Amino acid sequence: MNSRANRTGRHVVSLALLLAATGLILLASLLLGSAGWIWPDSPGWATDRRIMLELRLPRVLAAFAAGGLLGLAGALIQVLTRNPLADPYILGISGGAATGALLAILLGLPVLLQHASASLGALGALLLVIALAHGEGAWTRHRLLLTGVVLAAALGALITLMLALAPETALRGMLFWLMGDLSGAPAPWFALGGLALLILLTLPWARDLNILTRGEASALSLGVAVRELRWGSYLIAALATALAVITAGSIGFVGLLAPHLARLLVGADHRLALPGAVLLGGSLVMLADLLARTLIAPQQLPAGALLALIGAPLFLALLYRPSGVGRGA
Amino acid sequence: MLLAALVLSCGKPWADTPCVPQAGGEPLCLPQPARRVVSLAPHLTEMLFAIGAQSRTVGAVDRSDYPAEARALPSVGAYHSPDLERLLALKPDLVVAWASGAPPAQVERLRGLGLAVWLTRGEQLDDVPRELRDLGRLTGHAPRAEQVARAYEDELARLTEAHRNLRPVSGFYEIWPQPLITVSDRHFIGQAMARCGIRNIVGEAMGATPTWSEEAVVRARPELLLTSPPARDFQRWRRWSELPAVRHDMLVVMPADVLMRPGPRLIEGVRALCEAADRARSLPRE
Repeated sequence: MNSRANRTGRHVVSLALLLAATGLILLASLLLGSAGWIWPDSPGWATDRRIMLELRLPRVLAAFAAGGLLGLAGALIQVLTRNPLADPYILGISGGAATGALLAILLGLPVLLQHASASLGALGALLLVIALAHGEGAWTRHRLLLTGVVLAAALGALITLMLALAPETALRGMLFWLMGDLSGAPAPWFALGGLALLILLTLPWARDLNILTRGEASALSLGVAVRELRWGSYLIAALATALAVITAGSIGFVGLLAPHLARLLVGADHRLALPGAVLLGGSLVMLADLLARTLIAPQQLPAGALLALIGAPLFLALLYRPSGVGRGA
Repeated sequence: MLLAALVLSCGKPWADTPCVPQAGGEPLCLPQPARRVVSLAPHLTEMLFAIGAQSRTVGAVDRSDYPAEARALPSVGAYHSPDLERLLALKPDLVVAWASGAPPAQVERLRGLGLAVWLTRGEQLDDVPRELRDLGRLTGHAPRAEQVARAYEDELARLTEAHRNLRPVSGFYEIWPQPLITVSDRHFIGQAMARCGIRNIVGEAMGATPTWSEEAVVRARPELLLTSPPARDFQRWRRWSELPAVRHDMLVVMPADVLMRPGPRLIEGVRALCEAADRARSLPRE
């Protein structure tokens, strides 16, 4: 009993450290950019202040929100599928958003309409999955997810087709979108507000999610409303994915990586692991975007590509650690 | 006998067996001036018309929209994936392609089918007159091609000379807003800027069309912000009122296509660019 309390205490400390690290990365992302360091009250502060507040701040917040949303969605999806390799993009939502966004880029619509088109695509995919999964026939545990997986595959083919048809000029915009890029992120307040709301909705379920990871039968026998929990988690994961992808394009890997890292750092208890996944996802994307903006500045890289480059070795290191990945899932 | 003919034909390249250099490979030699030419880039179609070889042009890639008669040419599809069947059906004895547009695998495939493909570079301001002359030789329109090339070179030399010792104005050329794509000094637009006395804030970079950072543009305080149609979202720069270009209303949209295509009209684009530079230069300096 005592050692368990100790462990929980250690995990709470880890979460606090994670929060501090997130704050540090946020601060660094504000001070550092492609135009170099910016210090308050330095010469040229009038312009630098605007660079910091109008270019860097919205972008950094959008990065955090997108990463946090994907971390949350990934944690939920890994519980739902009981598969440690699941990531939010298997829901098919991101494919819908990508189709919408790329179509808008292909048609040469302005940036604002690109976001609108991505939102419509995500919403359309979500409604399609729910409608299909709700149709005739027995509702099975995996029906919802399988529908999403198949839809994602079909939309992937559509995306490839659009890339093949795109003219050279539009192609880079489309590739940046697909890899995940924050240079065109819309005002972050919507995504940040969504993140706050969704995490508040999810946290009360954290205990039930813990029970669900031990299997559906035991969850049912312990009085957990499994069906409602599954639907609710699915909806929240889908909404979080949609918001993230609309904000930053389809940034890969973070939805897979953040929940695993979180479980490793703050334990498998979802009361801590969910906030942990949000903070880790947010920090990872902020860090990747910081590197994307500064590595070969003023030339720019897509954040998503860097995230996969940082994330892949990290994930492999986790995977080959004794008693590593999958413990909590 | 065959060998003798080969030696003979290669021995006299000045006769009616045109040989011209091409991008990344051996020179291209034709047994006789081409009679059925297919163009795989809009600016190469423009070149064919400019040197008077339109009657020898039997097909062109999509977006070959200048001059207006070029629209009537049979289409061979998009430049990045030409329709090989239609192309072969036109029975060309010369296919002219652009190295930056045609995928290398496509070019190899066309050559594998036994077609004579002339691959042009089209990367620098000086490539245009050279390629006009070469195309003139390939199609038997050398005198007219020489005239067009000379006119281009004379105008370029005049513009360069006129702007040589003027105060340089700093400028930024936006190709695409999202992500922000621009041109470096290696691009022919970047070279045109230099000729007009515009200092490109991008300078040398990796590649001719790098993805750039918005805050680096704001920091560099350009006096001239340039783009080409459709100039999508270009007016967003207006919120940076501290930029000299914004304060003096020097957000300039260049005429369509002329500056983006390394063809005979590129010189018109350079002239328009120089005029924009002159306007920026005449404003009070900060």
